[in-house]
Amino acid sequence: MSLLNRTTKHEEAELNLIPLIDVMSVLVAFLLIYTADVDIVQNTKGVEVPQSTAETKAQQSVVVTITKEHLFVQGEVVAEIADIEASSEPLVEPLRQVLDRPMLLGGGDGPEQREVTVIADKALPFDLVRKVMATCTATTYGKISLAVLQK
Amino acid sequence: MSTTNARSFAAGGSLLQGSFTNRVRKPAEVMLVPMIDIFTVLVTFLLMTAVFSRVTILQLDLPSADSVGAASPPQFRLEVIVRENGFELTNGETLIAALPKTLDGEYDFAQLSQLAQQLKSENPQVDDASVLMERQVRYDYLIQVMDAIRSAPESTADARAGVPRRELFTNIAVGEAP
Repeated sequence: MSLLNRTTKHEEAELNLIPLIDVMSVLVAFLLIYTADVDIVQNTKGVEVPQSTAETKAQQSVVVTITKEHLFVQGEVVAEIADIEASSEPLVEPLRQVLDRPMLLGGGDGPEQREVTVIADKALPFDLVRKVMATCTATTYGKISLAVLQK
Repeated sequence: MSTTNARSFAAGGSLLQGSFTNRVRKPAEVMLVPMIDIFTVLVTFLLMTAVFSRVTILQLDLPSADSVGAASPPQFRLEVIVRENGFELTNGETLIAALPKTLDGEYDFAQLSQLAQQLKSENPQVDDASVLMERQVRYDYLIQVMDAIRSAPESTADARAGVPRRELFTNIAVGEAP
């Protein structure tokens, strides 16, 4: 009898999976909600964005990223930083051509509402950032925002 | 007792008998393992793509073409000139204060914040300011200067407690130093 009992117990041993699933469901739900509202300005890899006390949330807009080597518009390489620094022109010509594309709409219809978000590395000289910003305003963008990390 | 007997008997018995006893004995089960597999993959994927730092934006005040036409009477406008060797504060024409770098070679942000608060209390209706930078100054300092003149904590104790900051000069334009 005791031998029989032991064998049946052994057969019915099971992993308690329900609590595990509970925890995972909560995790999945949390992460899904959390990733939903930060994907607007997400590809900041390779760029050390300065910190600030600003609290305004990022909006959907055209994103211009300046790393230490390249200039990107919406993730597409547009120019090399070395070339921009070497040229003495006040505007960045390749950037102007890309920003003039009619497909690239930063929200809103009129030029006053179109918006550019500049993500720049904090070690860059101001001159470079100023050139990029000047190019943005020289084309049809009426608003410029600087992306920062909240402290 | 009788069921265990039947079972041990079925193990050596015919195929029909074995399937019959199985149907009777085994409780209905939900297939949880594939579900857990999917959840695990989802969790790892979401964890990898999650960004745990919040990106916010600083909006710049760009002078638009029509606002130049409707020029308001000249009023106070804070200008901070960031030079290689320190800050200069002007009201657009005359110099208010010069803040050289501190002894360890850092910009004097505490003093700048103090002065900005003082100027704001003297001109409470003014929101406009300009930050003029020299060409080789790092971009990081632009953000720090904007922070210093944009808002200030009510006191150091409040800053730690998370009390909302007092707004100073919120419309900030950026330009090149003369």
